[in-house]
Amino acid sequence: MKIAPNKKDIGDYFVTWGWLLLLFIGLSYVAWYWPISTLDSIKDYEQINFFFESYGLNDNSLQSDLLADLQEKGVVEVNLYDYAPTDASLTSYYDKFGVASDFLVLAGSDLDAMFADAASTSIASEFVPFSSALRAATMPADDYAYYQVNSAAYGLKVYDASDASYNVAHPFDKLLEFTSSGVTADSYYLLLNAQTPNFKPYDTDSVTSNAVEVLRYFLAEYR
Amino acid sequence: MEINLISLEEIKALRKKRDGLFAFILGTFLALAVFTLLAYLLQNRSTQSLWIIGGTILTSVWLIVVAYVFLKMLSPLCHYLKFSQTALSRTRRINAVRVDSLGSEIETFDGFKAKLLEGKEVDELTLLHYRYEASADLKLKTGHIYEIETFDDVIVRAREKA
Repeated sequence: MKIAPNKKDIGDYFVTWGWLLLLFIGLSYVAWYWPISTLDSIKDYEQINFFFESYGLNDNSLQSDLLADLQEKGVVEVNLYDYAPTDASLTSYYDKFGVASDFLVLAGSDLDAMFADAASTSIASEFVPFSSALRAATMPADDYAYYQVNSAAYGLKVYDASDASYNVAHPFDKLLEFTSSGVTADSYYLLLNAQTPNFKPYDTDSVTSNAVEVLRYFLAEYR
Repeated sequence: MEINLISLEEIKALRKKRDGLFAFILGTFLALAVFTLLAYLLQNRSTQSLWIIGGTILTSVWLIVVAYVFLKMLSPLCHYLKFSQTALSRTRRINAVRVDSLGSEIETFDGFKAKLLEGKEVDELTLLHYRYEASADLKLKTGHIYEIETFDDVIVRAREKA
């Protein structure tokens, strides 16, 4: 019995089983693309994310400046997510981007709602408090006001709706637009998300201190 | 002149070819596995596209070749091997046949390709249709009388009658 391939058999094979061959090519691509792109996907400890509630970004250089500074520490991506406090889809944006962001700038009224049940430890455990050690490590001078929950400082005030002198001393409005015409002014706070792995050693689950570096840079940049 | 289409030697040769095909599939599979291992060890973000493209091409070609080997080579070979083993272990018919025509048409019989032979049984003039493995070099002459041994109407052996 001769079984050597010949042109006719090969031609018949491609005509009869063409659909299967296309399926093979598709399956091969998926089999290679999916695991390799998963292996090479940017990990949480390789990115720094900001979630802002504001009426617009005034400084577009933060992203590129931070990336340039932190590349040697293994950071490959810096993302800024900015949504208006009045956006009807803000909650879904927060669920999608905010919960995975290292830094959150949220309106005081939203914090009041989040921390309404002050006795609950679950919401407090989602944020890294501004402990005295963290403040000493990141702030040349601690003249900030804080959003306090159970005597712990969870939010650093970045905009005071009723005290213009605070905003002059801490000009975070160089980065973010906190007011909009026709909208009642609100104070804004910076929170540190404990769900990300970048707050070592101030968060026990963290694996890098990249967000601490960013906090130091951020506070120095806007004062 | 005697032609043995199915014999112990032929079965031995078929087994050798079958084992060779299995070895080819296993060998190329191992080569692909080594390539895959290298890809996962050596790939990084800057070279991932190259590995994905290279891996896709190699895997596609391997699947296409292996499918061809299975469908066009291994499957008919195994069917013919099984048939041959059965044929040699069972009772076979022997007829004296005057060959009318050796067909050029190929049909699939019991999983392997076969050609048709038409002839007449010498004593009773009964029209007979036999099959033989399609790639066999069956050098029978039309009009000549042969003693044809068959199993399930497939020619096992043919010998020209004086």
